[in-house]
Amino acid sequence: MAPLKSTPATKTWRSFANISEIMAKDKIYSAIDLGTQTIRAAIGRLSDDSSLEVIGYGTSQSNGIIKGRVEDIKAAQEAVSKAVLAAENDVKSRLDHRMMEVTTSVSGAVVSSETDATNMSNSLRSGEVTEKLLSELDAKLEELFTHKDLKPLHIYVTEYNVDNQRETGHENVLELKGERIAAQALGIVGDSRELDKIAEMLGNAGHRVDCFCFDAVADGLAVLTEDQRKIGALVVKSGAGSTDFAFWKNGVVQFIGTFPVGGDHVTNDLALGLNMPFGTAEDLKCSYDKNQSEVRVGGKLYKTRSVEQIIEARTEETVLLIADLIKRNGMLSQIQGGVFLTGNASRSSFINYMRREFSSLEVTAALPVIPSEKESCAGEEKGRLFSPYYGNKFQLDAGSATVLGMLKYAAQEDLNKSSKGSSGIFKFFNLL
Amino acid sequence: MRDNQLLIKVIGVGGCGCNTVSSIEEKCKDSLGPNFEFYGVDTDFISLANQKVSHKVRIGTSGIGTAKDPQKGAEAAQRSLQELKEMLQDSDIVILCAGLSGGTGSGATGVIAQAASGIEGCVVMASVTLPFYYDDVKKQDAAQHALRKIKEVVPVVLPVQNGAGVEDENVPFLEVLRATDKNVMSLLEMIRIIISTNGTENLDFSEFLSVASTSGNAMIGIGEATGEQAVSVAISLARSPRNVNDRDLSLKNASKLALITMGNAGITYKQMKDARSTLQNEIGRQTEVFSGLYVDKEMENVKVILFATGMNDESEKSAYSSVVEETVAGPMKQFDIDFLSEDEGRFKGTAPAFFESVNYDKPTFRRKNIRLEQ
Repeated sequence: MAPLKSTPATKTWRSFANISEIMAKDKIYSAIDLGTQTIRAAIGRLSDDSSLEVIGYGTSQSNGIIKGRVEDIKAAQEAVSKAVLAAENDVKSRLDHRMMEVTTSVSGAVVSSETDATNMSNSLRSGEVTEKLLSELDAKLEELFTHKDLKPLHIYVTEYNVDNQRETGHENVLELKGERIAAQALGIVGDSRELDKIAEMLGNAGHRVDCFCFDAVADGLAVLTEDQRKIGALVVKSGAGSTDFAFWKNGVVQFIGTFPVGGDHVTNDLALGLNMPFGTAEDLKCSYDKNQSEVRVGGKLYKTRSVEQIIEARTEETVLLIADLIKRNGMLSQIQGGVFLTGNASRSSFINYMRREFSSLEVTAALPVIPSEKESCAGEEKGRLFSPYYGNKFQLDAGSATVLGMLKYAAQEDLNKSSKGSSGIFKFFNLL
Repeated sequence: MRDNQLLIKVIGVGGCGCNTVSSIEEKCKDSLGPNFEFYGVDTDFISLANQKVSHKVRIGTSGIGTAKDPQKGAEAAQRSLQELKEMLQDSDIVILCAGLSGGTGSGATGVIAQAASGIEGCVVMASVTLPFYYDDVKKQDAAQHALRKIKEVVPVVLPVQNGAGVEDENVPFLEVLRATDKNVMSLLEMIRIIISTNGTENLDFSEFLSVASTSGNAMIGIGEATGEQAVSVAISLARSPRNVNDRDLSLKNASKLALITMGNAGITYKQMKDARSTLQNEIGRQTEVFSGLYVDKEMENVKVILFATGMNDESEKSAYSSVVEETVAGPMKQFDIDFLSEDEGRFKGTAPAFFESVNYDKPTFRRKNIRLEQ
């Protein structure tokens, strides 16, 4: 595929009198969600008042990506380029922006996590915790989560301990005094080979990966309020290739789960169970009528009940996997803010099984909150997403949370790098 | 150990467990010899009286069973702990057999295992039968709960799903229920050979104990073959999903593997070398292999028994503990995903989705034996 050409300046583009000022003051961020079924690209602008405006959005049918992995670089590259072109064309009338540096999603089998801790014994000779000391702890944690075949994507410090005084926030620990400090953290890591493959594929399409973002983390940024992320909320994202979840508490991710099982598995089960091509099974999955006792596919009649049996078995099993992992790790009692479902997880059968397994909690399908005016996004004073340009035209779908959450994530990364000199992996969430 | 002889006690717990042990004793007692003793333990005294097992221990006081309540099973075992300890005396290996669909097997097995663990040097293993796929959710959940409790005290558990691996659904129902026997018999045969036969290549008892005390999921399989590639074929059969206790387990995740090969003097170096090279390529690099070759001039076939343990045994170390007395985040652990070759449908040629030894690329309805409405 030929490289994307720079979009020439147009009259419409020039009609923005303050465009150079906007370009100088505002920061533009680009995100690409590499879904197994759909590729989504989005462009956002962070104003100096910290509001984040979605100014470009495009989608394309995915190809060459299975279970979160790039299986066919060329096919994936072409699908990405289509979504990017759509987003760039979308924004073209206002701004000449090329999606060069991008934040991109990773999911499923590419991602895993580990909990580890580090300590700095006898290091607080002055008796006080300082920013410098915390940076040194961060560096030790980053080293802990860096392995030969794994790269750390996100590191969340879940607790600090200063002489057995336990604190959860970066700011709070700075107020403690003592002799010894330790930190426990969750490291979300990615398979280096798979990350390199994604970077190569995006590089071929003309993009440089600024950072990778685990999809359930991005979804949490898009659909949860700051309060929900503090009191304890679970976000479950089910895509075509994987089902992932992230549990937030005290403003940071405490635990994640990744299962390389998604909507494609439901379709594959149908294809193998009813002996039909994958594409036909996908159509059947999306369009069969539950009220009819039989369904006709390619001249053959099937019992609707058998279709339901296959879909329900897979859906229930996926939900039970999630529920078992949550319960086994003692998180159920910590989910005070509710359970939020995105992607395919927001479909009714998935919700019903989730409600059965998490009967004591509120389980809801969640969409990103994107008001048309920044003033109407109450409760999220900073880092709010809005989109006046799109107005009623901007149709959000169940899978859009990831790409929009990544815009927030990219803005946060930028802020961390510039204001705190952080490596970009550690999260404080002052802004979002 | 009794009179300087190793003592292996095979104990059936509850109705299902007693059926298994009675059946095994009937089939194998003579070939196994005096090192093996067979016991039945039950809360249902009438049912126990009807079992053919040599030694019987009644637990609890009611004598009428537990009405599928594991709590009652555990309480009955606690009440009869003295009798159970006497039963366990002198054991070097205790193999517990139980079904997890009722109350006695689910509740009492853990108590007996705990008591056996208190005997110095005694290794405890369990073979448990899980409900049929078509059994109700409550029963499945209760069985899984019981399995977790047993795993807390028994390092090596061989779970067998009732009905799993049945290819011809017209087989007699009784035959399906006896599927557990095969796994326990393979295990007993392996132990018999190790303790009573001098191998050309010896797998000694301490090596076997090292495998048998490695916690995690466990797999046992047996295979027989003839011909030029007999050793390779027998190993392939021993590890094929049809012949192991849990068809979703993968050897790649094993920490330790005991492998014994039996055959006549005609087994060649090439046969052994080829078979072991193939196996080595398929297991993980971290797997420790203990192997033995036993020559029996009478044998026409080559027979292989394979016993793998420590599958997905996670361990965690924390620098945090050196500073604080207890860990902060509790038992949170992240699982691993393993990739093995598996060709099926949409995912042909892609790395399969293994989680806790189950390949989730395989259709759920097939793994759970759900009969689709036609």
